[in-house]
Amino acid sequence: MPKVAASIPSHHPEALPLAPQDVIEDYLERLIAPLVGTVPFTERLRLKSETAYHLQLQQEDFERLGIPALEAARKAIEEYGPASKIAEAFLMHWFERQAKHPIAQRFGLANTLAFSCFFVAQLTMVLILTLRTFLPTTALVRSSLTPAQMRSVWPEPLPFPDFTWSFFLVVLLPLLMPFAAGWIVGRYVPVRPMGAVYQGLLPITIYSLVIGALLQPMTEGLVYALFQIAFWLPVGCLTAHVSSNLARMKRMRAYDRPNGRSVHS
Amino acid sequence: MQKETEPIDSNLLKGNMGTLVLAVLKDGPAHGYAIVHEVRKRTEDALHFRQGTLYPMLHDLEGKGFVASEWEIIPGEAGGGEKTRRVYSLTESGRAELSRRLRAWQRFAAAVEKVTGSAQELTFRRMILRFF
Repeated sequence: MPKVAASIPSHHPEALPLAPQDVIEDYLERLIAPLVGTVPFTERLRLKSETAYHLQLQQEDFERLGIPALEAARKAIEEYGPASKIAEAFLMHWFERQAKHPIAQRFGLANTLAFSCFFVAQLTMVLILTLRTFLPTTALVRSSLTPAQMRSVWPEPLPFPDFTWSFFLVVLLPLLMPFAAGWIVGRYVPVRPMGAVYQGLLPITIYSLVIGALLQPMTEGLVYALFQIAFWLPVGCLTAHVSSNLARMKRMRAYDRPNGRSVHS
Repeated sequence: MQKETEPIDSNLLKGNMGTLVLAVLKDGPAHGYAIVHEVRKRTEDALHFRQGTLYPMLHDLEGKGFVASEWEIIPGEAGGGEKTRRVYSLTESGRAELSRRLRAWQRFAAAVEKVTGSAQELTFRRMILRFF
């Protein structure tokens, strides 16, 4: 059985006293880690170099004031800001700079993307509801069983007014749409996806509320708008958050693989 | 009356940080730390911000064409190797943007002063004007 050392050997790196450079290196690693897999290598390297130089100058200034080197390095880091916050700010600015279209530049890439996804969901819903309203219930996609046949199998009262594909579309799509749209937003927005979903969904919900109010005394429009507020908004936000985190983990795993993406990507 | 040493609301600073950076660069090229140092010096340390937030903003300003940057090699001290730092300078487009922002700021400050009617309360405004 191998012998276990009672303490760390004196020549082991862990036994050596912490140097100011170690503190700064640790900070730089924490600053760059959230950017890996999203921000290109050259831009990460640039931020790292600028930060290292900045921290070194700040540390030297503190040392001139008589603060010990290690304490000066820690104070320099404190002045620079928490690594997670700075990385988030950098990621947000970098992502928004990727906007090429004037609309995305005007309203923000993340917001535009979220709005587009939920707008497609809204259009799909409007299309289905329109077809449902103006066509007979079984005219859209016919079920293999008619409502009468269903009722001969399951006597009334049935949980559904009829059992057609169009009915399922009307019931299931509003339930599934925020999951799908939120997932797509989170997949492409690396930072603050929940905020983007909120910003993107807000004008759509206001539109639904206005249309719902205009359709009075029919209440379906207002019910749909309230459903968007109570269900689409929280589900869309949470799904985007989960999807964004999973996408980030996937990107980082890709970098961990020996034959993963090149540092130049 | 509010003390001069009381920290200024960070929301006021957030929207104007880019203008301060452009104003510093108007006087000549500078690297990130020098910009921070200059802002602190000119404002007599009245503006407190996370220094790290400067770099995303500088990269943004560069992306918009308001500033340009290049690596500068600094010869190492005795026993030390060479170091590199990124130096930023104001472009023509940046000069025009700075003038535009200053005009907007002055209109805003004048409007606020008309409502409050008290120049003494506008610590932030006085400090910004002193900055330029």
